[in-house]
Amino acid sequence: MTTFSSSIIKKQAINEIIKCNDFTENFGLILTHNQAVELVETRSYALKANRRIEFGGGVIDKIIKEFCNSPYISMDNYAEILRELVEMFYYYKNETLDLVSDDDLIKFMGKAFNEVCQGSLELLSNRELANMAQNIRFGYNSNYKESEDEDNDEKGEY
Amino acid sequence: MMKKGNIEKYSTIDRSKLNEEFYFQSLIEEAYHHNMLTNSDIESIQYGCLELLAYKTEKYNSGDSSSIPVEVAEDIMKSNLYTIGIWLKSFPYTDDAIKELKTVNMHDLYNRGRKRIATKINAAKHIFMLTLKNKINTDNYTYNSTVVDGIKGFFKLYNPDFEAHKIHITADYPLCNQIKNLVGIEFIEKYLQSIYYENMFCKFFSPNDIQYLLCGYEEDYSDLIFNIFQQVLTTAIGCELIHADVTTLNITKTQLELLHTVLINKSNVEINHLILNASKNLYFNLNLTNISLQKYIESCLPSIIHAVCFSVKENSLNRIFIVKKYPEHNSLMQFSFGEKMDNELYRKIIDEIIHCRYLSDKLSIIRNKIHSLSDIEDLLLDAELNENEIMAVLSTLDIIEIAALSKHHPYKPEVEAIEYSKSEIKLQSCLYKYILSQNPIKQEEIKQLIKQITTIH
Repeated sequence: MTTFSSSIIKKQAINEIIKCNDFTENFGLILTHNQAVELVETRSYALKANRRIEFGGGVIDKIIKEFCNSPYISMDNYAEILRELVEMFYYYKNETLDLVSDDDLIKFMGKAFNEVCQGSLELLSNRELANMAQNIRFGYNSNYKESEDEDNDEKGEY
Repeated sequence: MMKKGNIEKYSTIDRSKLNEEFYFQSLIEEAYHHNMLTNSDIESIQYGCLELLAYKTEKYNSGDSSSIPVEVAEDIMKSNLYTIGIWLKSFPYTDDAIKELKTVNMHDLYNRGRKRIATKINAAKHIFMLTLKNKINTDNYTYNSTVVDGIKGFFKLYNPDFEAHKIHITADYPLCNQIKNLVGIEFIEKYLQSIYYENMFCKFFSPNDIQYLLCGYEEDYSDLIFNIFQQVLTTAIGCELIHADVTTLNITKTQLELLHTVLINKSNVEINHLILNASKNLYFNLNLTNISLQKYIESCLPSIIHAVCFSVKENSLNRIFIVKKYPEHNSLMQFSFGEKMDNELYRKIIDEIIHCRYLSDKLSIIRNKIHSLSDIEDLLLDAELNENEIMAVLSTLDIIEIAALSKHHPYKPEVEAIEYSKSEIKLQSCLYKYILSQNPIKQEEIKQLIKQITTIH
């Protein structure tokens, strides 16, 4: 009884993604129906791979709204970047032990992508998000850097 | 079906065939099997469950996260289905439950079940208060730790909103009738009711009589995991079978032989009949008039009858009907630990020992300033001595002093982490090693002394 058909959830999610086009077209970004379907499939894959479950459109619309104004995204790479971001999001939801809310994680991803990573998904995933997740797991502030501690040690402060 | 002029309602689904643990699921399966639910009904129930899961997941995440690990979602789903099942169980006729399922949405069914769980929690708390009031006065560790601390732990940990089907405790103390197919608050409610009746029955006898009876079962009964009520009830029935005084729970060795002659060569049916009659006499002789308690006892009799029939065949009645044992009769001598010294002086000596560098100096202080075993015992626990130093102190003691200390600090590695402090564990272990290091004759002497002495503090 605990296994249900996911077709209803998928339809709902595709509709929510398509609705986002009304907002993103201001930035010259639009997803086709097929791209929306692919994005939902990526989400399903990412959820399955990370052993998570989600209802409704979930976070895809939030990710779209956070990243659509990025100077590093154009129509050429829009759909692909979104797919990568969705996979990254669910992976780091687990890595942060669900201690970071969806909104905070997406905001962190958006800020890092546009600033320190300068549009590099590799840096975002392997450096910024990895450090942040480690900090969360070790009980530090999400922005904590090891060098801060070394500086403090040198100054004799703790 | 006509019964005493009333018309009894007919239910398509046999209530007794449904699974008590997964009631909702088994009800749907049976209803589908009997064509009481169509495919579209099932689909709409599934959709309702999914909506409910989505709603509960949002609540669980407090709106912070739209996704959730699968394991947590499964638990929430199980909890939802359990809660709805609790509500559906309240319908005595399953046809009415199916009607409710078809006409009421899952959210409302869940809310009704949740209210029922809240009522059950209050009921369980009330029964818990009653069990604390009529608790058996016993040294049995599992009984005390489960009936008091375990159940308290349940009320602290139970999460009816997201884990209504879990109890989070192990309820180690076994009941006479093990509870099957119940989980969550239903299990605890039933468990507490059973404990309440078992306690109520044991209250007909003095705690000393129960203690001596349990000593007869096993002298170290305090560490055993077994049901006390079952021993008491079996012995009481044994007393009735030979018309002995039931109130003292006393079956002597001669009476045990008499019991053997009463039961030997009897068929299982005859033994069944004898025990049922004995239970009726038991109610009369104890003036046991509580109908619920009588019903509980009757529900326990089959397992006792089975055990008696088996032991008659195996010629091992002495394992079922216990002869009391009085442990104090084993004590041939008393040993006093002596007076403790003044606290202030004691603290100074301990400080001095802690600050001493050499073992010889420490031993010299102990020899000159400590004059009672009470103080030696405290010192061994407080003076931060290492294993070698403790062994050296022990070697200065007499054999009887070692036996007295061992009696107080028996070596129990299986319970040490929970029950004893680090220094106590160290002392227990050193005493154990010290005794093992002695020659076999001395070891045996110490073991005998441990059995024979009673200590006075």
